[in-house]
Amino acid sequence: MAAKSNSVRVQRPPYRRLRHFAFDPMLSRRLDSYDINEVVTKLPWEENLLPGPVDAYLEVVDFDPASRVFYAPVDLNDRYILAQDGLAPAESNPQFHQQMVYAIIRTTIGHFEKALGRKSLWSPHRMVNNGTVKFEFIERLRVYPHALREANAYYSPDKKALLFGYFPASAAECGENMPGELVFTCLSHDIVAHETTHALLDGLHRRFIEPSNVDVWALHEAFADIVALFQHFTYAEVLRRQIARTHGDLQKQNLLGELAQQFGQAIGSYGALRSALGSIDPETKEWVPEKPDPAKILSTTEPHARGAILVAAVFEAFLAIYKERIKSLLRIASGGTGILPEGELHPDLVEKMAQEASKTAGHILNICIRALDYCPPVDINFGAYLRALITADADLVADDPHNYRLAFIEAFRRRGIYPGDVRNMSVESLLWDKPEQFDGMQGAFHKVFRNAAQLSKLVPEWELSTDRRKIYDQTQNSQKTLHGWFTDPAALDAANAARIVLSRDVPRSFYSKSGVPTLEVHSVRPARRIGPQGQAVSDLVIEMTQRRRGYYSAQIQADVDSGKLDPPEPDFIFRGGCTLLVDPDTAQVRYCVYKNIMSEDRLKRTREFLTESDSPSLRATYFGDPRRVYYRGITVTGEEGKAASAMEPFAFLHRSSEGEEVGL
Amino acid sequence: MNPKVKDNRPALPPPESGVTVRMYNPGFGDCFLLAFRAEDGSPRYMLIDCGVHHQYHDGEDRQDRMKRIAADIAAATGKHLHIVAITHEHTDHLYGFKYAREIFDDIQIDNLWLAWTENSADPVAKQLKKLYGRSVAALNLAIARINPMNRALAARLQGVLDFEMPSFKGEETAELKYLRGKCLHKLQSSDDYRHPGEVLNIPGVKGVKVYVLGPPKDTALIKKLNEKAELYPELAAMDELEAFSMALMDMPEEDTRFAQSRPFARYFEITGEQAAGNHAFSDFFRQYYGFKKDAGHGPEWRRTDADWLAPAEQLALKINSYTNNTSLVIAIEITTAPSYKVLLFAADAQVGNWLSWQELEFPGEGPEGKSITGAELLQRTVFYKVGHHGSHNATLRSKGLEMMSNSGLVAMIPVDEKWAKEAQGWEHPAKNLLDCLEKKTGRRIIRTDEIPPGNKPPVKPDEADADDWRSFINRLDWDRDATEAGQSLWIQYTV
Repeated sequence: MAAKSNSVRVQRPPYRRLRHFAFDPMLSRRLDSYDINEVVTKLPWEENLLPGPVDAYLEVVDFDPASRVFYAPVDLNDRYILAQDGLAPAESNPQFHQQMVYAIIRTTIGHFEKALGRKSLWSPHRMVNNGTVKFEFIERLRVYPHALREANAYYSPDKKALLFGYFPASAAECGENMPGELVFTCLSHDIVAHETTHALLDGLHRRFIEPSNVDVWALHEAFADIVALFQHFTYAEVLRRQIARTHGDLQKQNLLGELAQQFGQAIGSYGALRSALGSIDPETKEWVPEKPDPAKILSTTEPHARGAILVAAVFEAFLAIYKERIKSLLRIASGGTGILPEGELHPDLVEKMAQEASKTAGHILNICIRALDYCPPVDINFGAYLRALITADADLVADDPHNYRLAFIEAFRRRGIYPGDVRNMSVESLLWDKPEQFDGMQGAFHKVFRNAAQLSKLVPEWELSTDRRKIYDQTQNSQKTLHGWFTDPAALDAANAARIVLSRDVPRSFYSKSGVPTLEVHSVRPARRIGPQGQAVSDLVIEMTQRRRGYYSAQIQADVDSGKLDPPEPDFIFRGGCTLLVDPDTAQVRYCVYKNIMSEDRLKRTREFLTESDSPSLRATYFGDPRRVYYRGITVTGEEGKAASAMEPFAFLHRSSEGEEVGL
Repeated sequence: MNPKVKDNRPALPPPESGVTVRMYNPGFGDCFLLAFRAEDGSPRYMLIDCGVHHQYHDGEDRQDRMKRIAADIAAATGKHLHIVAITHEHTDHLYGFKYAREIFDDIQIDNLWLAWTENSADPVAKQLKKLYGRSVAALNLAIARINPMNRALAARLQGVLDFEMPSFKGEETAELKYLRGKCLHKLQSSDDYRHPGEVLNIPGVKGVKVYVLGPPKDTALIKKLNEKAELYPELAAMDELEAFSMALMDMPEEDTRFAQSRPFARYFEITGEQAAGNHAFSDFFRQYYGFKKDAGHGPEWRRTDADWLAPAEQLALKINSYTNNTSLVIAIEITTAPSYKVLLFAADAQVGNWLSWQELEFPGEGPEGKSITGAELLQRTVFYKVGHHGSHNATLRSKGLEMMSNSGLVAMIPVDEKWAKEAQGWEHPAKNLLDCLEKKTGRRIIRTDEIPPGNKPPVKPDEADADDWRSFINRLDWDRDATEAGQSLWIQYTV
């Protein structure tokens, strides 16, 4: 029998409060706002937080290879630290760096999980043993806050890690800083959020790293920028200060653009994002938004620059929606004239506007994240992402009182981003096709998806409280089950409806087993979203892919496909497949978003993309085209394959064109 | 033509007017012999570079090939070179003086033309050399560190570095020292070096002017070395990589830069030995990072021992680009004929160098004593020695090639495309550059890997006008003694 005790049983706290910088501390010295740079973030209380910090999602391991030293891991459960909302922000204390990087990564993960209504997994570790490829569950993302000694930070899909660099300020464009003063990328909220997003996206769509077209890497960069940018804008305290600085000129509302500008300075894009959003007018010294030019996207191929166009589009949509939402506030504050009196704004007005901006930013963030469940599994491009955005939003919010969808469409249109497969840029045309629009398709799918009871076995238990390894194991099982269902000869109609090719009479470049193309059930996951009116939308998202060997020589491709030539080692992997969104209650397939593996046209375009070197950069000339090196990493085994797969695509992207001389 | 060693009469006669440019074929490298006619009818010879890539190989051993070339130079010039111009210190421009040293010993060299960047007494040149030397030292260290972990990358980096004639302290190469000692007119003052804006004569020759276009010299450069210098962006980049470089070189504590090289105060640091030993946090580091392959140690594949060395690639490229960009660039103007033709020898100059020529002024050199600019010289270019074996970033487009509007433009490219692609994986010449050149020159492109075998002249392309092509062929000549394909020693064109 337990000893009698008078102590009161204290409840577990809901949150852990941690302090961190809102802006890159270097930047904050340039703004006139030292006081708002410290922000307190509330993270859900983790009982099992170990020194590192190490928890269920992350392990911060502070090894500094350039200095050849380690730094002691911080224990955030230390009672002195708990009592003060974390260590005081200090650039000179590596433990604070660990705390900050932990807080921001967990916040970013939190936004992601909330938007998708399920826990996030990291992409699995790919192991090659004697030619066979295996995948291993990765519990924790590794974080190295001081891994590099350069002005860079990146996500390593190979090591499942985030590597942050530090560098002396004189090397960056910070004129006001002491020469040699160190800048830590791990102390930049925007950079940390950006890199975390790469990891999260990789966990969700492992194939969005394969550079099969000019949009793929650009989208990865753009998406990481979008999440970081809009996450930044959800900090109302930060917005409040910016909005208050206006002297009555609400119509222009360039302040948010200015903030985005600073964001672009901190983030790795080195100018690409900055100039895509806008620039400082040399005469008026004011920030003016960039005039969108639909022709620009046709000639922009570098991933950062191209991605920046997409970010600029989303940002423009955000501005338009925000302006719409504060219209009534404006009317009240200006007494109907739309022009405010000179001088400072009323603090209540500032508060309201900041809240609107913050709310809108949150909405945009959610829309952009949720669109990921409506994307094809491979060969993603900007047009498909737009369609996914519109469809996902239309599913959740049937009427669109603030015209969010129109704002997006307009902004994309102005930048020349069009899906190649629609007739016009109206909301209706942009929605993904429903199977009902095609005769017999739903019926064909019914051969596999019969009823709710059967489907419920597939849906892994994926509440926000489930153990992630358990989720992973369950999805592996569901994938196996689905594989059996779709490859069953009785279900051939369903496979056809999903554009899965299971016939023997196929081009010989297909990867096959016993003459039949192999099928990969790439992912099975539930998507649960709550709309603004409290309505719940639930789907089972299923992704399936197939693959063919791709060759840079059209002749070899033709010979292999026709069977004239035994397939040699491929130059790249050509993939196709589909994403099915299935209603778990009715067992109806609501959408089938596919990339046709039989499309010779798409195969040709992929080949052309990989072989036409516009103007090889000096780096590519001496060290290899990174896109082709990427494919070598997955097509070739042995030493060469290992060396190729050690090429870090994001490190390259973040280093790339800086200072590149443009010749012919 | 068999070099008649005993007969010292020059075997390459100068043209009646203009200049004959003989492009030698060392395989992959620059070696150009120019022949001018002096007023008294005697020849004057200028050699621009003589080198071959240190890894080049084909049927014939590259040293033997170089010796044959040097012997031909000796015979062609009667063992007398009036000017030797060395554009920059890369193996494919200088190694001729290494491989064929004995033959050059017998050749008299009157003048040596070097860019001002080679003048160790020039303060700006000194600063540049210092920064360059530090970067090369750092790169060497990086390669040593990378080698055990990634042999392939280390080899590629070494390949790029070997282009440079590596010197830890930025000292001069043996070949350049040799030439300085050998030439009759020693380089003593800063006037003996070539500066952009200079106009020179070939001794004894009338009707020929040599304009020095590059390397660009910004007299305020010294103060600006820490900022982004547009003319030498590589410098700023090399500066950016300074922190990286410093991490490679173990700095002693007394060095003032030591503070810069460590991000945190000493008492935060836990050395590798401590972490792997009995430190309070040893368990943590062992479990997550790991020091061995054993169980209980963090997985090897997640460690980051070598990732931070990746900027070595950038460093290597910047070093290479920097040297290229300090190329001595000359434009030779023939003023005997009315249209004042210009021959452009751009060495391996890259963007910064090219851009600086636009505004460069040569007062009093133009018609009626007006001044002319570099841009105008470009417009009158009828002969272009294509930079850097036809790589795309050594020929500027809008402020370069596009300005060469003369319809009689001819281009020379010293390149071996096959070797470049197969042995190195390089695209030399770059496809879109070649396309542009073909359009601009009407396919009058002369390449060392396309010297016609035997006596048959190159086939006229369908699009070319018959008369144009005939007059082009008439000015062309090549080594017809080659016994095997690809062994032709030279091809020449007379402007």
